[in-house]
Formats: sequence, structure tokens, C-alpha cells
Amino acid sequence: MIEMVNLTKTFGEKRAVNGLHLSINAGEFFAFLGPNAAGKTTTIKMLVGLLRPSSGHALICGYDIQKKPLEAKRHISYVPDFPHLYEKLSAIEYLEFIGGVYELPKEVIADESQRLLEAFHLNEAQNQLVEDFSHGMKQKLVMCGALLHDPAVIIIDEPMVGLDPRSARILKDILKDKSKEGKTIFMSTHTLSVAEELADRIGIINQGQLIALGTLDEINDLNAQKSARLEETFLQLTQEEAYEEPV
Amino acid sequence: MKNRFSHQTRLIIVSKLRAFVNSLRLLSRENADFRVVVIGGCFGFILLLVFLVSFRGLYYVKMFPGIGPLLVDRVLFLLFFAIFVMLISSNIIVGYTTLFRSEEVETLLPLPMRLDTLFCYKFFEALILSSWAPLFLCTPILIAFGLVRKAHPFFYLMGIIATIPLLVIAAILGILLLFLFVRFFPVKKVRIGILPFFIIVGVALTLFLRTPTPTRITSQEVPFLMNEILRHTSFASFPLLPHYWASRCLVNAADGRLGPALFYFLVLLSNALMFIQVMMYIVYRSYYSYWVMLQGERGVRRIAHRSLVWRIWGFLLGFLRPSVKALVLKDAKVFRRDPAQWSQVVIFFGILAIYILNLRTLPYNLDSFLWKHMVAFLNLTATALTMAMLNIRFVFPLLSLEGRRFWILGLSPMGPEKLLMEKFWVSAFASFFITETLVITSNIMLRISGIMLFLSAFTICMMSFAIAGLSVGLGAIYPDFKSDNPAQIVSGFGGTLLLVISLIYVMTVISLEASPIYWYINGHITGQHMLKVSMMYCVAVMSAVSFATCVVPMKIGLNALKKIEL
Repeated sequence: MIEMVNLTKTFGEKRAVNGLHLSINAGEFFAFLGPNAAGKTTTIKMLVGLLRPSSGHALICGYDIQKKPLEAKRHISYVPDFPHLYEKLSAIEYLEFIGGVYELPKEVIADESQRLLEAFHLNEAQNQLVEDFSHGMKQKLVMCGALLHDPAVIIIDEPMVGLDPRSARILKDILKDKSKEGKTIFMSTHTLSVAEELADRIGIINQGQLIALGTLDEINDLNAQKSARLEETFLQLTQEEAYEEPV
Repeated sequence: MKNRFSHQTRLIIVSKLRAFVNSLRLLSRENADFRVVVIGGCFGFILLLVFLVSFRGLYYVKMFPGIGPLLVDRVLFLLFFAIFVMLISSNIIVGYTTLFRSEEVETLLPLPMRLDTLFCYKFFEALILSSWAPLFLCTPILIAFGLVRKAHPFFYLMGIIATIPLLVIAAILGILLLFLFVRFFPVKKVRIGILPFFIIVGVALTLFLRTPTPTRITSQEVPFLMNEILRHTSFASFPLLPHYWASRCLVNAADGRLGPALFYFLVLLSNALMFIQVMMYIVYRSYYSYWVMLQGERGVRRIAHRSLVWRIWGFLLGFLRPSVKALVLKDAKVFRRDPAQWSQVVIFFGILAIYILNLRTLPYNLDSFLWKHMVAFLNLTATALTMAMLNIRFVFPLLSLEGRRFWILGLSPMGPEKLLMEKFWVSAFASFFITETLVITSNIMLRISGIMLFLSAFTICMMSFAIAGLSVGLGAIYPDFKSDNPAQIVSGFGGTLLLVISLIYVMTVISLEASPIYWYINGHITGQHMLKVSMMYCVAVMSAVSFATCVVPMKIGLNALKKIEL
């Protein structure tokens, strides 16, 4: 469902993502880990068409995001780490807008919006303006928008930031269910426990290169001390990182 | 495909309308009647003022024997020329922010939205944002023109219809230029690249407008002067420029010649449609490429730690307490590193400086005592108004821009008084140095009398401090911590109120000064030096007004700042 072939992005002299080869199957829950400025967000931005690769290409459901952007985007949902929302729209109006962009029938928009708002406990705030929402509420609303059109591929950048434990639990359950339904989930996160709990496969990127790829057990096997914890493995694999640059 | 284009366009328009209606509802729910009345009143007042000044001015010009009506028409051509150039410039700046720097584009791009829909929407947004203000100010001038010319009713209809294609052509030209900048300037330098463009345009216009051989005429030879003006403004009648077609259309409509008016309107309309085609076939196709290029090639900016410039600044500010010095340096660095901020100051004062440096080439007799002092007085007014506008734009949002970082200062042991006073002194001294330099330089060049030179320097000094106090004070009374966008902060109630109070203050001071200056000039010409006492009275009143304008908002602002809860 997601295919990255020699995906590379350079910013001036800095190579933020360096020849990434990665294939993620339908129904797979993939956690993308890495220290700060490792190239996670740059990779995601190339996957959704917000950045153009310096070389290589990315396919979503068989469509090249650069050559067939509309076809590819119809199958994606993207949740950025700091989402921009229309502050003067109410929650329900925002969802109507998103549903309209994906050309969903009005009844579907209405039913799905209610279902998602209830699932995220936002139904009582559905007529409030987004500008009055807390950060966590905004995150939840963006998630509602992302799930509204039942996308085949969900790409999420740091989904747990700002969510209270209950909302985080709800989101994890929903994402797990979506994965079971056959949807592909590509999640970038620093919350290693979430990756441990949810991911079918984990990829670790450091200084633009994929340094580890596999299931949780396979990744932990890379740990020299044979520790069972992802956190220690992650720290050991990324310890050579000397200097961070913002990307 | 077409259906999707119209469906998505409709969707965006509906969402924007909903957001607008929600804002209005919110306003009524917040019991903001007072704000609505004040803002409405301000706009009404400005419209009325522009109308009255235009009507008086146009009527005066029309009364010149022989060439009066011709001059009135030329004013219309000049007005449309100015609007046309202004719109092209503002569309470059607004278009850059709207098309390439808007967070909204980043949200909409991953959605399956057609690129032409997205481009058209953002273009339309840029068009509206850059056109509403010139259109707003143009309306009362056109009505005044119609009344002075005793225009046919068709004129008012065409006044509305003919300006729309003109706005569209100007906006497209601005966007075309913007795309050229993005294409040919190094990515990090787009905004910096735009700045030299404006400077070149400013210098070119100044050189274009200046008279090759200064004409020596006396004040009695005003019709001759008018004739000179006609000659030197003939560029506004260049028939291949779109503003010419709009002006011709309106002049013909005013005279009731409907056929020629329609002809020029159709020329304008067909060109606007042609420009839309050009834009859609050429520009929008590059939009995505340029957008990702600007996002993707921004690189990493490295700032030299303790660079020589900042060390010198640190040394110069050594007399300040460390906490205040840190705050001043922080503000200066933030300002210096944001080209969107400092480039506007350079443009505003740059144009004023170019004008002042060209003073000696203007076609009036600089040996005339009357003209010299008249020009000096007008320079003072122009400088004061420019300073007021820049204070509204830059000083008023200073406290609001601390925004979500306000807790850093709130927790620091410096207290709100020091914070407010730091903003005040920095703003006041920055305004003081720039405006004082401009006023003194222009007055020395004009060789005006010592007493007038002193009076102008004293007045602009008072105004610098008064307007800085007013702007900082109102900025503390009406902060907007939600927004990071200075333009958005300024467009709120506090910014509008500041605009009105600043204008009233500048007009009050200028009016107070006008009377003694008039008597001083009159006394010099008639040989009866008089009214020095009245001049002293005026200076005293001006000082008192300025003191109150500065101190009262600062006091109220300080109290408001102490009560702020984040």
C-alpha cells in the first residue's frame, strides 16, 4: 500500500532522508521511530506530497504521489504533528468541509461525523468554534476528520501529543481496529510504548537512513544486551547521533 | 473534472462564509455593540474625511480657468495609475504570504483537492486582501469626482463595474511578478529579493516624476504651474496601460457618452479575461513546483553566536540593567531576522527619504519664503502620518506578539512596568531617530528659518514619544495573545481604535501648529513680526496634548497588564 523507492531529500547540503527503501503492506500497522531531526517528518511530507523527493519516489496504493497526486490522495488521510484548523468553524462544520472535499454523500458525512465525534467524546462540543478547543480537543477533531472518509492509508505524525489517557486509549483502539479492517497505518512517534503496543512492524530512522526494520522481537534482537525493551534498543541503536539539526 | 472544480470551489466558499457568519455571531454574543459602533464610526469618519478633502480639492482644481476640467480628469487618471501600481505591489507581498507561506495550503494540499481550485482560491484571497483598502479609499474620491464633474448617473454604475477588471489585471500582474521572483531568486532570498524591487520602483518613479529643469515661477502663476503638472503627469495617459482604459471609461461615462464608455470597459474586460487565461495556463502549473521548492529548499539558517554587530549593540546598551538590555536585544534580533518586518519600515521611510532628497528638484520656487515653509510643514505632516502608521503596524502588536511566550516574561523578576517601559523606550527612540533625521534633513535642504526648524524638530520629537506611548499603551489594553500574525492583531478593535486616536492626535497637533506658522509666515512677508506669544501658547498646548496622549494610555495599559491572566 505504501512503497518508498530510494526516497531521498536534501536541504542544501544536508541529506535529511537518504535513499529510503520501504514497503508497507495492506492492513499493516507500521511505527516509524527516530530521534529528533532524524528525517521522520520529512519522509511523511514526501509521502503526502508536501515535499518533492530530491530522488526516488513514493507510491500510495500503486499511485505515484507526484505523478498521480489526486488518485493517491483520495486513499490517504494525513494527521500532521501541529495541524492547522479553521478556527472560526465549529467542529461539525469542519467535518462537513472535510467530507465535502472527499466528496462523501451528505448522509454519510452526517452519520460518520456523529459516530466519530461520539467516539472521541466531542459530540457535546460539536457546535463550538474550533478556536475555543484545547490542544487535545483539536487533535481529536483532526483525527475525526482523518477517519471520516475511511481511508485505505492513514499517515499520522505524533498522534498522542496532547491527548489525555482516555482519548489516547480511544485513539489506539480505533487505529488497531482500522488495522484489523485492512487499513494501512504509518505512524511516526516518540512514544515508544505505543509502538510496542500497536505496531506490527517498526522502522527506526537515524540521520536520514533506515537503521533498523522488523517486528518488535526482531528489533529487540538487534540489541547487543538482548534486552526485551524497545526503549533500550532504540537508545543503543541511535546513540551514535552526535548533533541534531532542525529539519 | 469541471464538476469537481465547481464543487470544491463551492465548498471552500461555503466554509469561508460560515466562518465569517460565526465571527459575526460571536461578535453579537460578546455584546460587542460598542466595538461595532466604534469601528463602524471610524470607517464612516475616514470615508467622510476622504470625500470632503477630495471634493474640496477637485472643486478647487476645477475652478482654474481654461484647464480646470482637464486637470480634474487628469486627477482621475493619476488616481487609477496610483491604485494600479499600488495593487501590483501589494499583490506581490500579499500573494507571497497567501500562496506560499500560508499554513492553510499545507492543510489543503494533502487533500484530494484540484490544484487549480486551490490556486484560484488562494489567488482570490490575495486579490481581496490586497484590494479592499485601495477600493475603500477610492470610493469616496470617485463619488467626489462624480459630483464635481456633475457626472451622468451611468458614471456611478461604471465606477463599480470598471474597477473590477482593473483589480483583476493588477492582481495577476502582481502574481506573475511574484512567480518570477520565486523562480529566479535564491529560495531564502525571495522576500529580500522583493525589497530591492520596491526600492528600484521607488527610485524609478522619483526620477520619472522629477522635473528635468526646475521651473522658476511665483505663487501668482498657479495656472502655469498647473500646466506644468499636466505636462509632467502625462505618463498617466499612456494608452496601453489598463488604468488608462478604466479612466477613459469613467470620463466618458461621466460625460454621458455611453458608447465610448462601454468600448473602454470591454477593452478592460477582454484584457482581464486574457490575463486570467494566461495565469491559468502558465502560472498555476508552476504553483506546486514553486511551493514545494520554497518549503523544501529553505535549508538551515545558522546564526553566528555573539556576532560583532550584536556585541557592539550589547556594548552600546551597557548602561541598561541586564534584564532590560536582554529584552531590548531580544526585540532587536527578532525584528532584524524577520524580513517581513523590517522590509516594510525600509520601504515606507525609504520612499519618504527619496522624496526628501529630491526636494530641490520640485517645480516651485524654493527661494520663496512661503513655499519653503509650506513644503516644510507638509513634510512634517507626512512624516508624522508615516510614523503613526508604522507605530500602529509594528509597535501596537509588540506585547501581543509575546503571545504564548508571555509566561517567560511573566515569570521573570522584571515586572510589568519594566516590560512596558522597555517597549515604550525602544519604540520611541527608534521613531525619534528616524523621523528627526528626515525632518531636520529636509528642513536644512529647504533652508527654512531657525525658529521653524526648531519648531518642526520639537514637534516631531513630541509626536514620536506620544505615539509610541499611545501604541504601547493600547497594545497592553487590547492584547491578542492568540495570534502570531501582526497584521491580524492590528486589524482588531484595539488596532482600529489606535488608528483613529493616532489620526486625531496628529491632526490636532498639526492644526495647532498651522495657526502660528501661518502668522509667522504672514508676519515675515508683511514685516510685522507678531504672535510669538501665541506660538508659545500653541507649543504649550501641543506639549500638554502630547503628554496626555502618551501617559494616559500607558497608565491604563500598565494596570491592564498587571491584571492579565494567561
